[in-house]
Amino acid sequence: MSRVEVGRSYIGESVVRPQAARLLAGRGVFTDDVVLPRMLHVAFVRSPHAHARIVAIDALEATALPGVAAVVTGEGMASVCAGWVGTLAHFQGMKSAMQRPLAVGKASWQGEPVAAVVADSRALAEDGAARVRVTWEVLPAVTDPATALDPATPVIHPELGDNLAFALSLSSGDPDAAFRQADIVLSETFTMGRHTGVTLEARAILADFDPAERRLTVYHSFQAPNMMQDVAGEGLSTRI
Amino acid sequence: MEDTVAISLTVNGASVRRRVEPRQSLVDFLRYELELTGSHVGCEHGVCGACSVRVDGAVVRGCLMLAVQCDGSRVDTIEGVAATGEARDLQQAFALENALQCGFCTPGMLLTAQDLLARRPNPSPEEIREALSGNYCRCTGYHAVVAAVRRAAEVRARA
Repeated sequence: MSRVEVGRSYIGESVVRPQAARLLAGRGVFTDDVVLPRMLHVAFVRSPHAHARIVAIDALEATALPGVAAVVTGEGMASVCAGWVGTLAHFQGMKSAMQRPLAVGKASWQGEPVAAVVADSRALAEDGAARVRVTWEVLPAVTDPATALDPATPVIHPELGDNLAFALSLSSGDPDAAFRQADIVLSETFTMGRHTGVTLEARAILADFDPAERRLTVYHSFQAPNMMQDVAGEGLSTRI
Repeated sequence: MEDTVAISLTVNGASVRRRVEPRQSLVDFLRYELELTGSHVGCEHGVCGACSVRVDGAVVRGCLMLAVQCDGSRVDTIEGVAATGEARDLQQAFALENALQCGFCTPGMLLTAQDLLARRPNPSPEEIREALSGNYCRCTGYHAVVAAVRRAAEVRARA
């Protein structure tokens, strides 16, 4: 297999990737392949509702399960990890609610994690998650962007004021005059599916905190590790 | 929490004896108990093919088979296939055609393609696509994979 050779011109050449050999032999190292000493696994209890208040979380049975090390809920997590606001600085005026590792008080989307069960194996963690009982008060869900700003529509994140995340209006020339003078005006509504990365390797993260050196090492299936270093550092800054 | 069951099987040519939970999938057994991490877990419901392994010569989904079902069987994973060299030309063809990007689907692709070439030494591109239709790639796409399998078939035809 090829190696980068100093002095060789690669322009116009088809070069075999140096990493291909180990990936073709089953010797790649993906996040879930990494095993660390005293490693624990986590499973999440997630909201089945798009919008619901968390009335109570009963974790007694899960905590008592052999092999379960801890059950963490939103309040406990918030005391060690700050939230994160996923806005882009170059989109001025963009709003987003604070995202926390675990929901505090209410869930704002279906699948939002509300409790984390930590155990000796993933199977045991899932056993524990199945034994966490959450009492929900279901709130009205907002699922239609076309009516999301109507006065009658509930505001999902009251601290943001309304349900508008971002508005951008671009205009050039005189579109109104162009429409008036056009021979034919066609009007159509376009919809498109949500676009997101769907890698075959599932989302995975492995974190190793060394309290002696106050050093956090994170293994993560992610394309921008420097961004995640910043998010982890900010979120855990009071603890590390 | 569950009682364990003793199983003995042959994995990549070596005898293996373990006690396993009846609920443990074959791919979890291979990955967690035997540390054979070349078989990957993608969808966990038999769709993506990343966990493909051979059991008694047949390519199966490691996530849809339980470890206890393999008692007495012979299991081959990508690590074993790479060690014996039986698919060296196929691996080389994948490298030359750059038929992989992240490499997560690659072990399953190789085992499925190796199985196809054993049954159909000179498959058409359509037959290759059909044979690999249960192995998902989410980054490179399939053209290079089909080209790699064709290249390996041609190499074997000349051998």
